Amino acid sequence: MKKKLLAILMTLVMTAGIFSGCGKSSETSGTGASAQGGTTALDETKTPAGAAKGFAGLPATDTVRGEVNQQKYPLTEEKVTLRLWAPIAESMGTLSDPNEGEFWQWYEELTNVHIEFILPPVGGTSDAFQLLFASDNMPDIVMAYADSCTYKRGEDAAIEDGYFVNICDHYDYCPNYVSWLNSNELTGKSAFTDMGNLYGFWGITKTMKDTVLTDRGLCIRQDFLDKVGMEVPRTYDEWTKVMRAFRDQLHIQAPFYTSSKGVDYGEFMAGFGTAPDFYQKDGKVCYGPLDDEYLEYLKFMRGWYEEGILDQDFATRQSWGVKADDDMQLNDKVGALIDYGSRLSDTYYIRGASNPDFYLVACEQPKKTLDSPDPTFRKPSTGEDSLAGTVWTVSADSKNVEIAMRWLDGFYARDIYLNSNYGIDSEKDVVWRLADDGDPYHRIGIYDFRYSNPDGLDSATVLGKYWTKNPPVKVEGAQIEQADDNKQAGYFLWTKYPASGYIPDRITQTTEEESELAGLYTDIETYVAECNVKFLLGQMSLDDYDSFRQTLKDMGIERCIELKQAALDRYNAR
Amino acid sequence: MKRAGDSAYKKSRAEIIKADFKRNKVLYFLFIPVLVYFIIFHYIPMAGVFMAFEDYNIKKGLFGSDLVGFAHFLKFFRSQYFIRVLRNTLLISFYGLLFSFPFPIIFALCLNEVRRKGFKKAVQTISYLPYFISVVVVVSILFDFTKSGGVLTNAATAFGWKGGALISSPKWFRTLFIGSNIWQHLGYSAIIYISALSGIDPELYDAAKIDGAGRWKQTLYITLPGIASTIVVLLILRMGSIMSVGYEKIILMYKPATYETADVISSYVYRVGLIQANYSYSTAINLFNSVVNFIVLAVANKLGKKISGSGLW
Repeated sequence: MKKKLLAILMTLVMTAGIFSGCGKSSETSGTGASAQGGTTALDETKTPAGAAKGFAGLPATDTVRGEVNQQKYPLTEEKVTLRLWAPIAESMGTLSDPNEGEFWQWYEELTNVHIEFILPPVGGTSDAFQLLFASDNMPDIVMAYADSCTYKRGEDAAIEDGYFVNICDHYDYCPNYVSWLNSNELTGKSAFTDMGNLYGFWGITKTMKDTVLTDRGLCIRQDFLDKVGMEVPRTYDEWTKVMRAFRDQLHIQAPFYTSSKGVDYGEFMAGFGTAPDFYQKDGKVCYGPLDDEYLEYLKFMRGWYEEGILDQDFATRQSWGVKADDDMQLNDKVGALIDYGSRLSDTYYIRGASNPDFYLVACEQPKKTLDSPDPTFRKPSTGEDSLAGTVWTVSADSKNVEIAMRWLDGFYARDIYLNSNYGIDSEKDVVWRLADDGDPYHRIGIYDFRYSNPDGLDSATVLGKYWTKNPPVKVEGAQIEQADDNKQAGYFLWTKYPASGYIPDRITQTTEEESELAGLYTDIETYVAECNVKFLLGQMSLDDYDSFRQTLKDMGIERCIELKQAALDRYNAR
Repeated sequence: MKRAGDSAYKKSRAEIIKADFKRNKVLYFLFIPVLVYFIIFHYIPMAGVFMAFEDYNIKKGLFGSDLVGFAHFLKFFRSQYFIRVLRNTLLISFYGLLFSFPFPIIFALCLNEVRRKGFKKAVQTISYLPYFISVVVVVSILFDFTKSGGVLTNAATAFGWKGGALISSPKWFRTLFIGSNIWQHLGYSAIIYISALSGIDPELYDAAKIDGAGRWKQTLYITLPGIASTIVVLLILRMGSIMSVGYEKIILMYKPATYETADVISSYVYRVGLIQANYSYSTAINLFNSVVNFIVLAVANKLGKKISGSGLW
C-alpha cells in the first residue's frame, strides 16, 4: 500500500515537472515572439511609411556596377577581426589558410579588417551549413552556395528567425552592391524574395556579352573525328553515324558517356523538345518525364545502349556528375561526353592522358534536323539573371554588422573586383596584363603563369595565392579570355541557343509550399531516377511508359507542378 | 517468485548492496565515468526522439516546436516506398544473418582442427586483414570486379548470366552486399569463437578419444556444446541490430538501377534527413526502426533462453 502511494506520488511529481517545464518554455518562446514583434515594429517605423520593399524600394544610385568605389578606407581605425564561414576547402590547392593569398593580405591592409576563415570539411558542406543554425555561434559572415546550402524554412524565415540581417534595412552600408542591383532589372528582381526581403550579398557574374555564357556542355574528341574522317555532328542522325564509326573503326569502349542517372541537364536531350525535370514553356511549368518527347528520347537512348554506343556501365559510374572517370577519359575510352570549358582542347593531355593527339572540342546542342526548332532547355551554371549561385549573408548577432557589410560591399567596386578576379594591381604583367583594346580596366590573366607556373605551382594553388575563386563579383572573362581560341569558342557554341525553358533558380516557395513539395517530390525524384535507368537498361519495357506516367500522377506530380507554377508566377510578378 | 518470505529477502538485498558498496568503494568509483558516459551520450540524447512527434524547428528548439502527434509516422507508412524499404531492410538483415553468421563458426572450427601452429596463425592473420580495409576501398574493389568486363561479371556470364554488369542488376545486390561483408569480416568475427574454443578443457577430448570418438564426433559432442553459449549470445546480439543495416556501405554501393533491392530504411533516412534537413520526419522513421528492432531483440532473447537456457537478461 505504501509502495503504491509512493508510486502515485512520484508520477504526480514527474508530470508536474513536465508541465511546469512546458509552461516555462512556452512562456519564454512567447516573450521571444513578442520581442521579435517589437523589432519588426521598429523596422517599420524606421523605413518611411509607404516605401515599397523589394526591387521597387531600392534607392537610386549614380554609379553603375560599382565603377566608382563608394566606401572609405580603412573601414575601421582599430583593427577588427571578422569570422567568415566559407566552403572553399576543396579549392585551395596546397594553401592551408586563404590568408596566405596575396589578395586577402592586400584587402586586409586596405580595410584594416582581419578575416578568420572557418572552412567546413570537403564533402560535408551542406551538413555543416545546417549545423550553423543549431549552434549559438553564427560566424559574422557566411558564404554559401545557393543550391546546396539553404535554410530549410526559406530565406524570409532565416531573417525572421533572427539569423541573418535583412540587407534592405541597411542600404546605406552597401552603395556598391545597390548600384549592381540597380543596373539590371532581372538581377535586381532575382535578388529579392517574394516578400521583398534581401537575404544577403548575391554573387553576381559580370558578363562578357549580353547573355551569360555557360561553362559546361557537350564535347567530342576531334582527333577521333579526324581518324574516321567526319565532322562535328549537329543532328541526332549525324551523332548516331559518328558514334557508330567510333565504335566500329576505333573500338572505343564508351563512344558516348553520360551520368549514372542516364540523362543529362539538357545538353544532349533538349533537342527532342523536353527536359530532365521541371521546365517552362510559354510561362507554364512542365515536367519532362510526362512528355511524349521524353519517351522518344528514352527510346533513342535505349537504342544506343543496345547498340553499344552508350556507355555500357553508365549506371555504375561512381560520380553523379557529368564528367567522366579519369581512367576512362585519360585512356581513350570515351568518345563524347559533357564536360567543362576549362578542359577543352588538350587540357587532358596536360593532366596525364596517354594519347598525345588528345583534343576535345565543343559541340552545339543537337537537333532532330537542321530545320527543327531550336532546343530551349539547358541548365545554365549561371542563370539569365547573372546571379552566380553564391550568397554572402551577415549574421544578425554580429557585433560588427556595419563593418561586415561595408567589407562585403567593397567586392562590388571595380577597383577591388578586378583585383579579386585577376590578381592585385602590383602584379601587372606577372599574373595579369592589360588587354590590347586600350581599356584600362580590361585585364586578362596570363595563361602560362597559371598553367605552367614559373614556381611550379599547380593551377589551383596559383588561383588561391594570387586571386580568389568565387568573389562576390565574378568576372566571366577572367576564366575565358586567357584561354586559347578553341576553348573560348566552346563557351559561345554551348550558349548558341538561349535557355528560355529553364526555370530560374531564384523562384521561391513559401515555407508551407516547400514542405509539401519536399514531401512529394523526394519520392518522385527517386522514382524517376530509378525508372530512367531501368528503361535504358531494358529492365523495364518502354511499352509500359503510360503506367510509369500514371504512377507519377498518383505520386502527386501534378500538385508539384502547381506549386512550382505558383512560385514562378510570383517571381514573374516581382 | 523463487523464494518465500519476500519482504525479508528484499530487506536483506538492500543490506547486501550497502555492504557491497562499502567493500568495493573503489570499484564503484571506477564505474562512475562509464555511468556518466552512458547518461550523457546515450540517455540524455534520447529526449531527441521527442522530435518525431513535432514539427521541429531549430529556432524554436525541442520544447518550443509545434506538436504534430503521429503525422510523421503516418506520412512514412503512406509513403510509396514504405513497403519497399522495410522489405529490403528485413531481407538484407535476414539473409545477412543466415549466411554471414555461420561462416565464422565453421571457419573457427576448421582452424581448430589444424595442428600446425605456424599455418594456423598465418591463416588467421590473413583472414582478418580485410577487416582493416576501409569500406570505401572494399566497395571500389567490388565495383571493379562487377562492372561489365569485371572478373565476377565474366564468371557469372560464363555460367549463363545474361544481364550484363552485376553491380547494376537489382538481382545481384544482396548477394554482393552480403558476400563482400562475409569476405571482409570473416576472420575478425571468428576471433571470439577461436578464443572460446581454446577455453575447452583438453581432458574432455582425451576422454572422448579413449571412448573411441573420431574427429567428427568430437566436434559434434564436445566442441560445439562447448561454444554453444557464446554462439547464442552473439546470435542474440546480432538480432538486436537486425534493422540497422549499415547505411555507409549501402550508400556507397547503390545506384538508381539497384534501388529496388538496395534502398533500406537507413539510406532513406539519410536522403530525407541529412540531405533535406527534414529532422522530424527522419527521427520518426528511425524511431519506428528502433521499435521494430527492440521487439525482434526481445523475442530473440526469449527464444534463446528457451532453447539454450542463456540469454542477455
